[in-house]
Amino acid sequence: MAIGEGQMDTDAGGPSEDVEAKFGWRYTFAKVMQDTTARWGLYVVAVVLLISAYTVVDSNLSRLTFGAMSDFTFAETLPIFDHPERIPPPGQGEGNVPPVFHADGSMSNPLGTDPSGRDYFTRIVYGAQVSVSVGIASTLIGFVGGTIIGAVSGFYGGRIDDLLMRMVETVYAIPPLILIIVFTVFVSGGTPDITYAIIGVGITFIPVFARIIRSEVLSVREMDYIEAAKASGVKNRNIILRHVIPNSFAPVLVYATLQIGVTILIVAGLSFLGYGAQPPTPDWGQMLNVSHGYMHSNVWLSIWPGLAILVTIMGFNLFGDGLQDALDPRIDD
Amino acid sequence: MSAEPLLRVEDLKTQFFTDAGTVRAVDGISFEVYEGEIVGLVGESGAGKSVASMSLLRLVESPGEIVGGEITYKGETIFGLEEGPDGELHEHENMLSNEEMRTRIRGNEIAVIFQDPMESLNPVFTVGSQLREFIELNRDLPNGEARQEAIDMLREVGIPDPEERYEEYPHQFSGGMRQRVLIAMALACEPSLIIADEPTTALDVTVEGQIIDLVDELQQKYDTSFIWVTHDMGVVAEICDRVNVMYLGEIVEQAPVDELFYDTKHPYTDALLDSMPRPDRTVEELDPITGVMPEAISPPSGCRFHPRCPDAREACKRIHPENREVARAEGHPHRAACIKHDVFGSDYEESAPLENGARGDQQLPASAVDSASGESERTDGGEHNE
Repeated sequence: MAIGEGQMDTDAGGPSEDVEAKFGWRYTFAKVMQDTTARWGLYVVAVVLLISAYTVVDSNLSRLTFGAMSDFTFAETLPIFDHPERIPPPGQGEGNVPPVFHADGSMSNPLGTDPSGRDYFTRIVYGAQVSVSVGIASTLIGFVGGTIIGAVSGFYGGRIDDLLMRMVETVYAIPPLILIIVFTVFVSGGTPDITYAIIGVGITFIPVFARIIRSEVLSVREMDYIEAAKASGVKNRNIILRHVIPNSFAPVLVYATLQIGVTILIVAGLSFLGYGAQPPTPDWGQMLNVSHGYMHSNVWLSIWPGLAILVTIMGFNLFGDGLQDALDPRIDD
Repeated sequence: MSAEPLLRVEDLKTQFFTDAGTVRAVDGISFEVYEGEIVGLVGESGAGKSVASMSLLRLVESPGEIVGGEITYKGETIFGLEEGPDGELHEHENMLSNEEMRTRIRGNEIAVIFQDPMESLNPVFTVGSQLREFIELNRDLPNGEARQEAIDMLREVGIPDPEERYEEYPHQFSGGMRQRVLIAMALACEPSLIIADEPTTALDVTVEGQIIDLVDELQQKYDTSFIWVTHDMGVVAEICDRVNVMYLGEIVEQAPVDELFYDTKHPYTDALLDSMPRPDRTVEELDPITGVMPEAISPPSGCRFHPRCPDAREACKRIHPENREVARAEGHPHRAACIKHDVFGSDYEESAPLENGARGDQQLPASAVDSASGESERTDGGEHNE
């Protein structure tokens, strides 16, 4: 017979429903959905994510079907879509067509066409892919880099902490846009590309993430389970990975959602300045760059990508705000 | 006892180097733990019990440092200093490296059960996965077996439906159940020594009783030795074989448990026993120890307990007694650090009693008692420096 069998704790019982309800993804999700603005934020984020996911799948599928060089998209077989990058041959597509509600507009180009005659609606839709992947990739670089540096720094303390934090603060002290432009130009050797912009933006975000996670780690490392892990001979690396980071995660996660919006804005700005996405890639910032020369003749060219950026960023910010409230146990309905 | 002890601690000193000065948290303690024994480490908060037990695993964190003494476990040197040819103290060459401490000693040979079961489990992982991780870490078991072993351990410590509870998170467990999980973790690798750092302090009395019974049964089954750190004399009486009473970083009395209770040799132990709530006494009849424990940063001169000691005399302010054998019982020495015993050969008998407020009738109001003991502390410090 097992020792202790038959003796039951007076307060043993099953899991407490109340406690369980306060944690977990389902509870957080339900709380976000209760908040009207957060809910709409989530809808926007979901739509943008779905669109970008579709465009990624589409272009890869057509390459698999028609060979690596194929630039065919399945979407262009639909009446409202055209190819996002291919410029129509002379005589076939008219440039600077106004949107559909305008007297000269037509349903085949609901948002009009750009100066080269490409369907603007298609380009706006495909622009989501660049913005979202850039937003997520840059934030991820900052997030992962910042988490590692912050966790190591906070966990070990002392000299390691001093060294890492001073390095991080040096990066923090340089104005981000200048740092990114210098980085992009320097690393790319004069031919800027979206990849360099992503990495550059990611690096400028490392300091903020590092500082947030470090402050969390400073309290988590005093917990008994950290001491217990040390006393049972767990390697420091594993203590950081399994015990420190997962318990310091929540505030950084919220910050990351908010940061995606900021990143999209910064990269749009970079593209506008010519250091980000290069033509013919459909990117909202780069489209603004092209369209600002047509401000007087066709203002819609600037309005659509501007609106797209605005709505996307608002979506991420509203959702991030809602997530923050949902994860904060002090805020109750 | 002729057999070699499992753990021998000699003159261990652990100090914290703070801005305000050096805190002598553990100041030259010596004790042994034999196989299959439960040894108590008793004292008030701040006596240095926890620091002492963490020192045994070399887990003292900066600004703390072990500055002296020797810790021997199964013939291996966990900590030791020796004088080098240049006259400086060096770490003993046979001392285990940090890597060896981590892989061979911690968890495998010496495990720890912490005070607060609410805080000692990682809230983001299931109880089972934590137990399994711990088993995988310290024993070479294939994946499936570690899981089975973890479930068996949960059953062993009396957790009902271990298969289901394996998948649950710490917040779904009650305090007593969590403490059982921690005991399972400590026992999982069949260590020879478990340091239990006030494991029942955070629990209800009823649950405390169950946990103590459980430990007692498991201890007999696995023949594990325990160092039981506590401030509760009641728990000591129930579970320990031998007891070390600590005061301000020093061991003031060391004896087998019955001997300690029935033939107390140190006034501090006496005072501890008198301050224990008992059913046959009302609150008014309780006899708490007067004053608070002084800071370990500037301990009183002479005997460190003299400002609060009812038996203190002038001589106590001058003479700092070491722990000496004053009697023998059950094959173990009964040591006490109090000069009222003849073996110290001091002039205790001739010197005048001290008026420190700890004596007898308790007629001084509490505040006066405090300031009186505080006063005597300061004067002592002054005299000592002259």
